[in-house]
Amino acid sequence: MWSKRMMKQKIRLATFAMVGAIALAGCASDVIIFYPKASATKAADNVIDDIFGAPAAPITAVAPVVPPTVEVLKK
Amino acid sequence: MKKFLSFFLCLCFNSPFAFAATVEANLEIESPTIAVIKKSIAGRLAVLKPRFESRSIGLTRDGLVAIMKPDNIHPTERRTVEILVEEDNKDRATLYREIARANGRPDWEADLKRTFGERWINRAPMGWMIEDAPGIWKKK
Repeated sequence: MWSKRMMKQKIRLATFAMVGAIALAGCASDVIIFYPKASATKAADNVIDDIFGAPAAPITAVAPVVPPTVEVLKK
Repeated sequence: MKKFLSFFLCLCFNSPFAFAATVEANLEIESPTIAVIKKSIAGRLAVLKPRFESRSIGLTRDGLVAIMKPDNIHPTERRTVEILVEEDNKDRATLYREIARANGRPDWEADLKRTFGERWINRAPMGWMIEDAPGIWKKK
């Protein structure tokens, strides 16, 4: 059986190991970057502003011209 | 031992803060590819705008465009509108993928789609059709 002194040593060792693991986890978490919602919202707003405000670029497909109505011709 | 315990507790409580400190990151949205896609969507918007205004097409929650009422579109134009919407959705999907890629986080693509979906709906002019809840459409 372990003596009281040995038990104390084992507990201290286990505690140190636990502290080390927590410290490592803390360091590892520094490289984890969560999805930055606020920044993404700002970025999306900027992109959407550019799209809504941008001058028209050449388009790949053109809608066919609808013949004018009788009302328009009367004018 | 008391000192050691206080250090241990400090470490435990500080870890979440160290974690939170890395949360903020600025998203990169300037790249040649993104610029080209933005121009392409802007150009197409000029043609699609009357369709949004007539509520033939609407904005989905995931940042895409959907045809709402095909019957509202003149039969001769229907195919053209379908092609335009298809191309627009391709561009939009590429835009979200490119932003995720430009930031070195391709896994953010789905989140970006959702964020863009929210922002498109928020910034859309009044009267446009928007997907309020999954599958539920309403006039803004």
